[in-house]
Amino acid sequence: MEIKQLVLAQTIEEAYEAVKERRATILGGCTWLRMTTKSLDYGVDLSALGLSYIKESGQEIEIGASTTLRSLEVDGLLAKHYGPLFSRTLGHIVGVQLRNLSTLGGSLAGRYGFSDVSTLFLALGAELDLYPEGPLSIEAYMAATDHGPHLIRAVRIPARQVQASYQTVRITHLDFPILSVAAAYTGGLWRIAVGARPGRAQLAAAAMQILGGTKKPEGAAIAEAARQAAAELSFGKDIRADEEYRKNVCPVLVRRAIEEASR
Amino acid sequence: MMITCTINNEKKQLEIQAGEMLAEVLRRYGYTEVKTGCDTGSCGLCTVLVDSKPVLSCSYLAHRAEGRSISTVKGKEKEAVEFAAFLTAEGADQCGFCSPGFTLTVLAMREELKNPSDEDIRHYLAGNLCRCTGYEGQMRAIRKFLEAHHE
Amino acid sequence: MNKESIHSVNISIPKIDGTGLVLGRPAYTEDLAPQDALVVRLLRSPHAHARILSIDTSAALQVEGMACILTWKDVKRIAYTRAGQGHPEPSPHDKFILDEYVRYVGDEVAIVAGRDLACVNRALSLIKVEYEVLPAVLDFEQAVDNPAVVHPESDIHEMFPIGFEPKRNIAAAYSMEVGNAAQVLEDCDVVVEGTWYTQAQNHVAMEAHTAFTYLDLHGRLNVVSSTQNPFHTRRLLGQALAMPLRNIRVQKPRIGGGFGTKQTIHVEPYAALVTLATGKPAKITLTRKEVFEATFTRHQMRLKVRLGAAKDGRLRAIDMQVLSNTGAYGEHALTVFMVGGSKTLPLYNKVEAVAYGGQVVYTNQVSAGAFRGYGAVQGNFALESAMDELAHRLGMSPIELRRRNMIGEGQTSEVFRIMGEGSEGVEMTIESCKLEYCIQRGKELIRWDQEPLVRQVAPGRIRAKGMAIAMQGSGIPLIDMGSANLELQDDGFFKLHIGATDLGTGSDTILAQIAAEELGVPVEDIVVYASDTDHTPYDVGAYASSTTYVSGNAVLQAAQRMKQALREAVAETYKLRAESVQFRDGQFYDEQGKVITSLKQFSFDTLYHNGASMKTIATTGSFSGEKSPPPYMAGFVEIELDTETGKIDVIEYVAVVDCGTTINPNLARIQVEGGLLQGIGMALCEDVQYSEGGHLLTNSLLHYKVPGREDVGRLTVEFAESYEPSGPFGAKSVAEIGIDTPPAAIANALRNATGVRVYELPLTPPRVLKALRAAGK
Repeated sequence: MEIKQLVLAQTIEEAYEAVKERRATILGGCTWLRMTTKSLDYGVDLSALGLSYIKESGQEIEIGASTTLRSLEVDGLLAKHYGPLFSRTLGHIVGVQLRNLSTLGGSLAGRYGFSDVSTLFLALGAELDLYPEGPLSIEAYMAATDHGPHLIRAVRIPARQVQASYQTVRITHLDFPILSVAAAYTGGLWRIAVGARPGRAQLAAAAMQILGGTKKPEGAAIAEAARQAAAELSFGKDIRADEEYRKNVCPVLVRRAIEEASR
Repeated sequence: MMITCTINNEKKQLEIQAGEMLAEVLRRYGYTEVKTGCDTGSCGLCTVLVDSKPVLSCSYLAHRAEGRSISTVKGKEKEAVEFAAFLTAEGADQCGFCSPGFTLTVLAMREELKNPSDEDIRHYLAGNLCRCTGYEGQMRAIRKFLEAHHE
Repeated sequence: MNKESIHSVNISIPKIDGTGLVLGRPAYTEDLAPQDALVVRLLRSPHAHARILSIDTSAALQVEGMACILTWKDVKRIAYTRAGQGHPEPSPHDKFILDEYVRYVGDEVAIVAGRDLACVNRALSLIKVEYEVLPAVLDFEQAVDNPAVVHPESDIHEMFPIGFEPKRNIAAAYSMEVGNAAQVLEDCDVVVEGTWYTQAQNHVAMEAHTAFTYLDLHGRLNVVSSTQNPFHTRRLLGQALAMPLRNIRVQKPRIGGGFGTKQTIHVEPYAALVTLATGKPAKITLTRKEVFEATFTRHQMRLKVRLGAAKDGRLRAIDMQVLSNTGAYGEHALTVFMVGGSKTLPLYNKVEAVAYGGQVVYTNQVSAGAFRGYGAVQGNFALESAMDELAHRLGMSPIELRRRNMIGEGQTSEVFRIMGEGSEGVEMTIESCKLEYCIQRGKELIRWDQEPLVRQVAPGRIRAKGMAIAMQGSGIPLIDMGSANLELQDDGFFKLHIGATDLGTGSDTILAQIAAEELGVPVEDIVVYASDTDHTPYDVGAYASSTTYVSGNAVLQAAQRMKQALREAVAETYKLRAESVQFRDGQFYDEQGKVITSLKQFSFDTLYHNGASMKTIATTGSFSGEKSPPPYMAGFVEIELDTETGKIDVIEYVAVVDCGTTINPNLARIQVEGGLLQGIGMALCEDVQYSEGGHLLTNSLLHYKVPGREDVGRLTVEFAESYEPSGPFGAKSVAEIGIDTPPAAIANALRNATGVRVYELPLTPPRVLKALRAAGK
């Protein structure tokens, strides 16, 4: 990749300045960027900003945007509250060597359809700490494609025992998901996110309504929610599967996710 | 631009372009043991250790190596030769093209995981593709290597 | 055979080159290229079919560091084939190094050479090409007599009749029949019919295709290439470049995998042309994208099978009609097609009638070529799936059905005589066949009788077993030839020079083991040098599972002759009769059993001390088989099916193989394990896919998925005790057999699990779920 001008930002203001004034591209892990980009006029590197951390802050866990996926995967604090959720979800992503490079911020900012990270964090009800705007819900972030110049500084998720499950169908273990589903019971409500539709992850709002606040829903409610999720979302075709397959498999994964999360 | 880093325990000054990846730079500086096998970060052949962590050098921006310690398989020669003995004893050193990156990842795994199960081993090494061996011979070698180290 | 007398064969010694490769010592082509070599890349067609109207290279040539750009107007127009095969090639000569027409997305348009990759890439972006886009043939089932013709040109030809009708988009055609299949089928109690589809598959060798060229001080063209066939490369290059072979040298250093994708010339002509045009060394390495888009795939096939049997399970007739897609060029078209029948049909040699035929068609898609299995895996998928269907129809165990009908030792099949590779075959009586044992043992290992064939392990999760048998070959009889030169050196070691080609497979090692065994010396006393057309004798190269059997027999012969030559030389020196001299364990003995001298001492004497009778003691062995004794195997799989998503997981795969003697058991085992993974990949996840316009969508490892470490459960590989009298120390071959059974075994397991048969590969979750739903499951 060619970067005509490289800025090693020393402060977040400097980084923002580069993005706003010079339309600089943010260099996160760069694992996706370097495949899709031949040349950048301006690249801004955030490595010096100290955004690589996972810490408990009140009722929340705050994760710096430059935290690698591998760090999330093996982190003790996350495991304490979420069990094996992060290691199981992220373990499908290419390999340890890539996860030592890819960052949370990069994965979310891309809003990629295939992103396991997006689907998971959407279900967990994450809050993004954007600079300069401040806090924004992940669903609002994902709904729009253009937020104007901004940086993701950190991501916050609840610091409490969260019941959650991540389900996918893949052709091989490390392949992109054909469909990804995350279900989480958090803050007294269910959240269900469906990604790799092949489009980017979305909340199945009507399905979530059906489950409401019931921590352990009955089989009938789960089945209904699963059906509803497949009905309310749109699916498409790519080289891995057609629309019909995704539509057929969505209720299966949603059901499994809710069942596992409510066990 | 110039960067300074340590490669295989030797302090080095490297002339790089902004945006260049570590794999290209290392190969240009003669570290041909760093192989490249795909354009998409999918194969693991280019694995090097940066501050003891295994990374894809094809996806690692070279300028980030400033001040860091990099190991190619030659920088871990003693352990690599030890592991190679187990690999060759199984016949699992077939074409050898995946071997340098794979060996480094095995060595990193040995440091990071204590008493890994077969599943743990496969999972840690999943990012290192091999088309020759079917992976089983490598597993046999790794199990014996870990056992020997245990004693 | 007497196991005690063996001490170098059937031993798992480490490969000679092991440690150096693990440490990444510079041993591969790209590592060895001269520092100042020009970098060569290709400009490639963005269209599936087009005529080049103009190429403007003026801006590109201005880029600093550029050396030359060659287009079709700069290259002598010679029709050749890239297929690494013997002469006369069974593949049509339908390729030009550069042509006015491009026939698939990725076809070469211009050769660009410059000082470094940066200037070459810059130049590539500045070349302006005007194309007249032509209609393309993108569906192989619509190829024959399609108004769009892939090869309308008149100056292409076949080397001998192969059914070449390019104006109809037919690259080759073939048919044969023993007895009258249609008639017998009519008379059968049960007839099973089906149409099976196999996909194109990519090899994904870890090292991309690469070569460098230079002119040596004699002005000869030197080529160093990641190739499976140095001698064919030399000959084909000579043809394509109109150069006498004596002016070309080809060497193969260590290479990073082949599997058939390097049984060809791919990149060598482009680098060679640059070297010839500039006088400078030139190097070319393909990107992974180019390897996908512009090298080879496996032949995609449609196989229509009809099997007829009596109700007692006696198979009476087989009819297999095949359509094969050879892509834009006809490399390996006829031969892969024929192996689809020649290495499957003889499994059931007791039929009254068997028919095999069909066509190989051109399309404007990536060219298909050699890939491990070479037609046998496609044929096996169809035939072994059909056999299982037949078993179901007969209410018989699939294992019993195989046992009742399969070939055994001392038997033959008419197919051997009739079907060769490209032409007639060779009659052969099977002297080693342990299929009965392979099935029995495989059954035990997978617990076929001990557990239910199908069982539910959780809601929506079913485990089921399936099986298939297979055969392959050991070289192409009377066509493949290998040679070996042995020479005694001072210090009592031997130079072994072989043309045979080690792809990482360990052939250098096992050939040294064979020589050592015959000579009765330690393997360390054999120093191997291989795959260099200037210094090693001829060998076809690594394909058709030929190295162990063909090259091995050549080494054996050279070693036998060496023993004789040594005894004669010692006899001459010590004024004895040659017949009275014995040689064993590194010593020479007289009739009384007294030591005359040692090999080590004699090796010095013959080079330094023996005055007028000093000489080099060297021998040559050559071998071309009069038969191609098949290795056999039985494959058993246990799958777990997720009935709600269609996902199949391989829980365990058992392979019991008869390859004759395993010269090196470890290396043989790895060949089978590696082959199994590739077969499982073909069965479950590897899928070459195109866009509507003929662009390859699966042109990276992101989208083309090979089985990874976590994708397959337990592999259990065992070998039958077997001995092939015509093979070196009883060996046959093991390179390809491992890949043949997984597609059928897995499809059969799926059928057992659900009652639903899927006829198309790969068995991805969407394809499986669709079939299950259509069947109301």
